[in-house]
Amino acid sequence: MKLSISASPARAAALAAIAARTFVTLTIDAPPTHNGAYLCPMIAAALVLPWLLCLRELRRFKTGAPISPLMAMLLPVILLDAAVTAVEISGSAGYLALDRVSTQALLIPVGLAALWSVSKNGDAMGYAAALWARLFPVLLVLIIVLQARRYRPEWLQPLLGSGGRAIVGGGIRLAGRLIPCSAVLLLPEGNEDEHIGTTAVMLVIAVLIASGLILSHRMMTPTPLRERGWLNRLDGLLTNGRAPLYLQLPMICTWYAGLFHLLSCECFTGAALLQYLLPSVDGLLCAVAAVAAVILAAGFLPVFDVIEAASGAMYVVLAPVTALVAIHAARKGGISACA
Amino acid sequence: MNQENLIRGVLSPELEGNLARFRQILRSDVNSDAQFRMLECAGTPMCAVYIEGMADDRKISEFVLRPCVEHSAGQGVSIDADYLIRYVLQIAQCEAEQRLEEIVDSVVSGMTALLIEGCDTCVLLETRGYPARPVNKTTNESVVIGAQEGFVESLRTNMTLLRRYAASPHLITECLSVGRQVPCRVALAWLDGVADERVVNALRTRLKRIDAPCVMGLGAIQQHIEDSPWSLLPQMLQTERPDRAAACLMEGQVALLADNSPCALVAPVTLFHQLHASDDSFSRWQYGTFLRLIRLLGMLISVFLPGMYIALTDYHMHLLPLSLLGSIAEARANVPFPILAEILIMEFSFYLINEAGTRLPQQIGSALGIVGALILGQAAVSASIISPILIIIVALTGLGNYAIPDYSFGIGLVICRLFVILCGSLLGLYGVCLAAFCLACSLCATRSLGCPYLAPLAPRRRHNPDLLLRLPVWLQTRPMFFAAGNSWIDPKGGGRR
Repeated sequence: MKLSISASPARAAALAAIAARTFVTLTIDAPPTHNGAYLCPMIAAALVLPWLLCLRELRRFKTGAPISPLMAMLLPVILLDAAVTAVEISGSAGYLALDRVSTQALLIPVGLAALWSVSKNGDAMGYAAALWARLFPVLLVLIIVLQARRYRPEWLQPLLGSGGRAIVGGGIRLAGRLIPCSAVLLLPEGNEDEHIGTTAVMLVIAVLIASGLILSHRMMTPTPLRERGWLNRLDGLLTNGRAPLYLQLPMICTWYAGLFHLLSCECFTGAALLQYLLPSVDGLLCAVAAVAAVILAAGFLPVFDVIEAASGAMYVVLAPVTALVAIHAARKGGISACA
Repeated sequence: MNQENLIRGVLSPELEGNLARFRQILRSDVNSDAQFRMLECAGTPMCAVYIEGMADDRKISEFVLRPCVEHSAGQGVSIDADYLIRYVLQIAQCEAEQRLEEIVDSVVSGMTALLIEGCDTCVLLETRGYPARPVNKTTNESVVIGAQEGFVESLRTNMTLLRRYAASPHLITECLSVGRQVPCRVALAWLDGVADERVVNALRTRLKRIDAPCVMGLGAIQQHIEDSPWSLLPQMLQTERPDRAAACLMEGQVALLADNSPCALVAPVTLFHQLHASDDSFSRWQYGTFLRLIRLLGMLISVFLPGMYIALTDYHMHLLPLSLLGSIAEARANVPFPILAEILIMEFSFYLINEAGTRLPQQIGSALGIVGALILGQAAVSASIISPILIIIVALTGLGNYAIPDYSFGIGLVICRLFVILCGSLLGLYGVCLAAFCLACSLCATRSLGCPYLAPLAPRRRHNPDLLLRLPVWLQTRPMFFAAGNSWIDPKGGGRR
């Protein structure tokens, strides 16, 4: 089996993944920006867009040599980020209801679901994300309608939260986290049918979706400023203190579905890159290897701490390297590689 | 010589030799219904070979035997198949044939072969006259308004019915035969210029690729030619209504009819086609849309309601309003089983009653429904085996399932529901979301004759606004995404504005 994905499902998968990653990063993983968090996605989008355009150009030179080192560089980052997603899924599942089950045990169904999704190949994974992207606005409206009476807009004050510096820092960290989940855009073969604006529109939609959710979350009961515990933040998100709990049901479904799509997108990207680097290996075997690596890392490594510490550097390192590879590939390959 | 070798080859000019081969092939020594009627036409010996019961005796005696026996040919005229067809036989459909395999297939299907001395070609006569059910009302796809007649077991009658509803010179019915030892005659029907040639070719290729000794009807054929045989949901639509099959042809789909199957198999289809009913096209668009939404809701309830119930009551009590939680707790106070066991008992009881009711004669079946629903349910609640609220859940689930017009699709959804129930009982809402995610991925990977099963939703495709919802007929001008580009449906619209 060859792991492959077309341009349109890749965009849908990236959209779902970027929206979920943005929301999760700014509500759970890195909360110090607080009120101004909904501004971070704009900064991150501005930073990530050139990277996405580089990926778009690089697709044409996939047969050329220069892209392999970049893929080798991206692969561990993607798997690490996927492991963080797996931890987030199992952690929230444990927190919401399954606290008597070990995190490792909760990772097994996540791994099986991710493997199932990847084994269906890229198009199915991407179209499932497209389906989710169509369902998501309905859930978002439902979340806002159910919570509207209990929102406290005054919690948004001061608008810039911890200040402009914190927001810019949050934006850069978020840009770093968006790199692994949008790397799926490197995978489709060719980009003749894709207008340059399509990628930008996709990014803007994803960012707007996430910003809407973040804005909604910011008007719920705030997490104590000094409390940096992961579960405490999750509690603030999934069990808004002022609202009857049953109103949080759409938010919980949104949370899980968004994370599942993020995880499957990253696992697929990891497996596809692995197969690109080791072309003789069957795609299904690559999928098993990628998912197993993700689950093992999630179960036994402190991936959360690693990614939180490295998120700022991820953008600063990976984006320029990608740009350099793109320029190098364009100069070396040019029209002949295209042909 | 074994049967397969015997049947290969062509006829010889010697009547006796041919008859000996036919007697051997049809095992006339033991087969009492294989008939060999010797006769002479203008001094030329002949033999009519047919199967008693499959062929119409009256047709043979009046339009084959009598004209042959009474015919007196002029001097020097040699009697051969062509001569008989032109001047003697009084049957509308007859053709000359010399391939033994074709002749045997035709004879066992009810035609008569007229073998002639000195001629290596016989005449195949359309004398089929076996007893068949007349065209009647449909039993499983009943409608409130609209045409009432359904397909029957005869392929010829079904083709005629289809042609009546799609009376167009563009309608093409191509006959094929599948199965090595017991061939089954099938007809591939499509509207030329409306159906995509690639789809027609794909279906034809898959039919020709079937390598099974016998194929028992459309159900077996469907399993041979489906894109994903492991998928829980059917990727083709079975309908017993000629009007629905004809409507599908007009949208660019291809229909498959088979002998002895009182239904048609339609492909390619999407999940949304499985939620359509024939009433839709007879109703005003508002009613059609409303009913489709009800069916969609029924499908979602059928798949997710029990799973959600078990997840919420077992793991997320805090998400239930307090009054509802109190009612559930009160109702379950005396029930000794966990919710999973309770749900499984009810689900299996429900489908046990359903299956028993289906297999029993109609009069007893309805009584069984009453016994099951009233007495068994009431007794189970009184005995505290199940809680009353669960009866509501299972009844709603069952109703949701019955709202789905396609029987096999409904069964597929029941299996999906069991998967959701298990995930919900093991992992709560997390499990239900996980199951929904896996089902979505699975559906997105499913294809029907190469067309995506969830299109036009995922992937997005241009489509006629009569797929998800049903918009006014004068807006239904765009062809389906799987139809041919040069569709006769005017893309600019020619109807009412």
